[in-house]
Amino acid sequence: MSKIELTHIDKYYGKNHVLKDLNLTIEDGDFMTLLGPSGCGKTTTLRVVSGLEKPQNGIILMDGKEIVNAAEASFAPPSKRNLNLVFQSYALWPHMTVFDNVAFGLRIRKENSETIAKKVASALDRMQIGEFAKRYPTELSGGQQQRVAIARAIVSEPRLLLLDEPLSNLDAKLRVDMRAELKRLHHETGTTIIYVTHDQVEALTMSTRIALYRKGELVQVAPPLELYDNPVNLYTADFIGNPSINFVKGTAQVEAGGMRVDSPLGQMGFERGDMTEAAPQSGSVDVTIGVRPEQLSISRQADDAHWVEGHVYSGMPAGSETLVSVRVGDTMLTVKELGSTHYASDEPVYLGFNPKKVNVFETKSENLIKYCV
Amino acid sequence: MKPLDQSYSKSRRFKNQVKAVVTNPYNVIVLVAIVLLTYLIVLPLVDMLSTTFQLAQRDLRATGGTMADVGKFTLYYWQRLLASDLSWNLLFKPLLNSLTIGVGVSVCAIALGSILAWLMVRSDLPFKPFFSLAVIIPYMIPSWVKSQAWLSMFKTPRVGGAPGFIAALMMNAGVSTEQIEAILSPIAYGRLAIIIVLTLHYYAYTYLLVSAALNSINSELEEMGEIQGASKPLILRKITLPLVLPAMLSAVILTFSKAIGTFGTINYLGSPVSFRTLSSELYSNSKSQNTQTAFAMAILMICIASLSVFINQRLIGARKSYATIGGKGGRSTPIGLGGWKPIVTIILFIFFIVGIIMPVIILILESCMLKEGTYSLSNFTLYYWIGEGDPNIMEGVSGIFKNETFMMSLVNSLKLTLVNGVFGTIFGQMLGYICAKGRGKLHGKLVEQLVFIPYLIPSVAFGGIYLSMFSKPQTLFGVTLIPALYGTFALLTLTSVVKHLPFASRAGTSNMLQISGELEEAATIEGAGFFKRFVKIVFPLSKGGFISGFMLIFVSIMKELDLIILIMTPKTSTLPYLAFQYQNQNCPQASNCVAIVMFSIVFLVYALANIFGDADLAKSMAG
Amino acid sequence: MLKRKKLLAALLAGTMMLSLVGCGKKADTSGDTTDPGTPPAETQLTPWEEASQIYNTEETDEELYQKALDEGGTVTLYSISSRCTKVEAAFEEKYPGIDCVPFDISTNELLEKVTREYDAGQHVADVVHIKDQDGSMWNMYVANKTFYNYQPADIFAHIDPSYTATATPLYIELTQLFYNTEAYPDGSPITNIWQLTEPQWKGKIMMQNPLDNLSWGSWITGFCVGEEPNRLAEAYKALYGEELKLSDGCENAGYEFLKRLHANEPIFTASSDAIAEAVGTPGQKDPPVGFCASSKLRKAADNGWVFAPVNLEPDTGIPAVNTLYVVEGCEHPAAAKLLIRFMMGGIDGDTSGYKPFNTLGGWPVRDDIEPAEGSTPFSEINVAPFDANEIFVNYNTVRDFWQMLG
Repeated sequence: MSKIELTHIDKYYGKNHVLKDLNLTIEDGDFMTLLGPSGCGKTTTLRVVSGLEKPQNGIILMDGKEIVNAAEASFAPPSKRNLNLVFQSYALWPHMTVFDNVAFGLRIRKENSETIAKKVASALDRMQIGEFAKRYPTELSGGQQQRVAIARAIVSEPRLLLLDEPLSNLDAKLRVDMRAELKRLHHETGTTIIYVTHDQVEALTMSTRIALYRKGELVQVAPPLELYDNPVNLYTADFIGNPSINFVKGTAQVEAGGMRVDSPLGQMGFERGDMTEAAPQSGSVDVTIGVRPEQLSISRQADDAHWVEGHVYSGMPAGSETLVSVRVGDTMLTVKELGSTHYASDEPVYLGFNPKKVNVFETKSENLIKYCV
Repeated sequence: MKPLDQSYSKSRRFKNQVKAVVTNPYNVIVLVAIVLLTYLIVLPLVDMLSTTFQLAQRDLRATGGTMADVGKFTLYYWQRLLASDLSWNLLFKPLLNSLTIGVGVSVCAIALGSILAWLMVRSDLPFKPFFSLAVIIPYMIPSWVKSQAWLSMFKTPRVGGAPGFIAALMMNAGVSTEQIEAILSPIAYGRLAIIIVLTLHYYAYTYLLVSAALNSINSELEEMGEIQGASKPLILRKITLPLVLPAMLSAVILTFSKAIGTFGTINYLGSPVSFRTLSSELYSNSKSQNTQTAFAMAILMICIASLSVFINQRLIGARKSYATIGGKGGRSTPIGLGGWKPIVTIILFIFFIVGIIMPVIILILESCMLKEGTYSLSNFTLYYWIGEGDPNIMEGVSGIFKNETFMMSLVNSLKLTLVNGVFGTIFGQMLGYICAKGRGKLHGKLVEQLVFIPYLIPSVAFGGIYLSMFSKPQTLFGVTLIPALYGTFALLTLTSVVKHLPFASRAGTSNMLQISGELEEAATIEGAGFFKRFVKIVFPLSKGGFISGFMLIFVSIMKELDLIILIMTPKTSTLPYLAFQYQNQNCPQASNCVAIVMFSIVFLVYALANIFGDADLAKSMAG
Repeated sequence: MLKRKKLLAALLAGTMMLSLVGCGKKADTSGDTTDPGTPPAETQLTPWEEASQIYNTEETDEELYQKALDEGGTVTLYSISSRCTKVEAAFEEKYPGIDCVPFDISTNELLEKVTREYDAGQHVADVVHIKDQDGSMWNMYVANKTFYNYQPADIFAHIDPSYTATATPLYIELTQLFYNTEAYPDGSPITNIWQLTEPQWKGKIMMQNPLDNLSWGSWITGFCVGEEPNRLAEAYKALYGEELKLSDGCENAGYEFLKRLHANEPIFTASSDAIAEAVGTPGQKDPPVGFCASSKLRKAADNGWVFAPVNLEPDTGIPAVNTLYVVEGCEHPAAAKLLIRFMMGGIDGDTSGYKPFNTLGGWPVRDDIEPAEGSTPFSEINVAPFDANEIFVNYNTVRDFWQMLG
């Protein structure tokens, strides 16, 4: 229920430039995920928004109200920002019971004890841990501690909820459960959420929008599917998607109407309408073609739809799907096929794909020059 | 793309900045702390330094000149100390001795302390509860008691009086006096003896620090080494040792600076062979009223110790954070000693009996002997404990428990140690909080350095300077900040608290480092202000460390004499003063009684804190 | 900042003192030495001097008692002797209504404490009991008018003027050579001080390191000043029948003696008691001899020590005279005077204030008080002459000389 605008945010730790001229808008009701490898500045962004860190440059608006103006050295304290934060380590106070942990903030705000009891009970129930109210954090499992941490964050009904890799300490199964839980929480409360993770699956499944970081800079901010289909550059393309996207080197002849690409995958033509503004107008450029593994189809026979010859390097059937590594010339391609098929090593196979669905990047600038449509 | 077009008002920026600094209690506390520490620590140091450049009246006879020259700038003292015919005997020879003692004690104490720590924390040694209690005792026994015990063991006939236990045995066995001298003299007095006795005193620092570090290492780190196929000694050398190295180096500083600063043991064991160190020269000069020379020596000692601190910081460098890497919560599987177990156990028992229990027993025995040195049943008496004023004994002074002065001193001592313990711990925890939060930042380093200085200033000098400073009201621009504190309990407290800040804040720092910053941040998010956070989060979480910090101060203030003897008035005398007085009156037995009472109080409080308060000296020393 | 002020004050005081002394000198040009003990002319009295009547030595015990009660009925004594507590009891019994507060503290701390307090304007101590061993009490504290000698004529009529020139003497102690009477039943193996420099006593002489404190430092200085070197040289000749040859760097027989003594490797101990114990413990085959405070004699019976002092030729060194002072600016000057009179034995025949000090190994300065039973009369003991000025001037030179020896 809150719109956050970050403009020109710079954050240094000593000489270390952690956030570089960051501009990001989080719309009211967004589930915004900050995604990137560790050390890229996503947690710092979260802490800057929360007020635990002060940026050296920039302005942050919350619902149009200025909460940070670095130039004027004005920083609203965290408690005045109507937000709450769930730490990666949960940061539950070990000397307080679950109830006291959750009630702490309400008590600071001097709400009366009846209201506190009611609100805490409701928050605990929502997180399905009402029965543990009298226990101490150390007596709870990791998943239960996680729920307490979230209950503590939502009990004061903040307009903005910040989550810092909350699921990273949980085992795989619990993690999937909690994902659903969080998504439901977002849906029910409508609270704006900023969620930090390095796990792209979490990002893709939960967010309404994803902000992808690279070394303190934003690379792309987009809804999950857009990010997946049309990554703006090679970095994004490589980061998003599991298994990773296949890259194939080629050269392109660009003309006014479109371009022609030669690569081990054969010759392809693309219309100007499918190309980005970043694409060159004419001339010959080195390009990298990006093909998602699920876009590639595989066949033991060559036909119209399967024209690229290759040899199986290894096949990995996993029940619902099969991943096959195929060597085409010098390039190794991963193919994802639904169902379970067994391929022998060095077996000749033929690959095909829909050229409309591939991305083309200019190798030198690494930027996307042709959309997947 | 920089926001150059962004308009802002400089005045508003300034106003906000000032507001941010002033309204943040943390900043205010840091500022107050730095100002106070500068006032309470740097000023005395500067005072000492300036004294060494000012001509004293008593040295007019050497330098010539008239009364008008008194207090004028002079290089006389430094020149005399550093570049005169006397320099070798006055400074360099004693300095070399000091360094050998410092290095010797550091090496031995580190080795002994580390081995004991490893055995206590890591091995499957039996009787661990007993050993780990006994191992702290040396810290509680004054080092002169150990020196005395050492002499009663090894004293040779040459220095007259009753020979030591071993010498007596050898004499009975028919060994000639010359041979006894040849064998025992090098052990009984001088360098070796001093190093051994001081090692037995100061290994406690290493033990406390290293065992804390060992406790925090996840034993999986060692097990990993074992899986990789490393032998136990190799694991010890390649994995365990590097992990506890920062703790060991930290112990080196404490041990080294204490060893070069100590006087009592060196006086006892060095005098018979004229073995003098910088500290004994310092005390001699001070006792001969050569205050300036003594201060100059103290400053040199501070420099040496600071140098060791500096080297240590360079050595530890990036490793500083090692000790907590594994974090707690990891399993700790004791390592089997195998066939060595019984041997190690027996050696330890002998060590504790000879090195720790025996001095205490000798002390107790001597307190019950009518005449010193006569070991017979008829000589046994409880007079010094509960005697009713027999004019033939101790010039008619009654036994300590029947003695009003003793009761007064007991009450004073208890009051002083308790009040100081509490205040010292509170300030220590606050400073520790600053050091921990400001790690790597300028203010953190500054506070950490400032707080270490009192550790190095000789107690008598420190006490004297405080007496001068606070006997007059302290005013600033005509406003009285502090009234004259002369003769008040407040001055005693202030002096002891500041002098013991190094320990207290060290305990505080390690304590605060154990509290994750996120716990506090979580409270910040909830809107808790600085004080609320301190009261609701930081303090409850640091309760255990608080009690340990209290113990550290309690133990050392209980033994304190030099520091407060100048500040004391007849009505505020304490137990160590009484022990000193009895010693003066040539009543070592009564003096021993007082020492035993002091030791018992310390031990009792320690045991109570251990049982009820979850105190752990080791924990509070780490960090 | 504070220090500056203090320094400035000290400097000012120093300058004033100088001008004062200078004026005094001009006033009575007849005297060729400045005498800090002489009262200045009436007009030059400080307010305290006037109020306390410190130069008035005519008051009787009764007058002082009355004044002391008016002052507030309390008096604080800083003393280097643990026996001050006994003085307290006796004083309070004789003069009810006056609270005597004794503080037993060792020399160095006493001076440190009293000067620091004085500089800070805290006038706590009224009377100081100390020893003027190196002459600094006279040359610094009395000269600077921090301490005052109070010498009531009636009592001082009974004291040898040679002790009263620079101090108010309480009693005399000595540093004597002791030997073990069990091992040497026929008397001391040493009678002449030069025997200590002979090879058979190498490593068998106990003493405290003269570097360690003021009193031992003063004691060795005593050998090198005034008439003493000549007496030492004569004693050498008497013992060996030849003239003493001075070695390089030794100005006189005193330095020569110290050099040879040091070369004979005396064993230093941490305390005077340790020497008494080392020499006096019975059952020793080959006990050392040792210098220690004569006051250890009174502990002999208690501890079962078997030792006796030697009446050395030419002498046993300078005496240690215990002295009393009134502290400048003190708030109870009348009580202080009364206490000093009391401690010195008074004039009415009641010597209860003196009794605690009149023990074996301590000699009264008054001719009308008998020394403790069993004491050798002081007149029969060979003692070096004590001149506060000579010791004071040469103290550092001799100490440095000893330090140079190693």
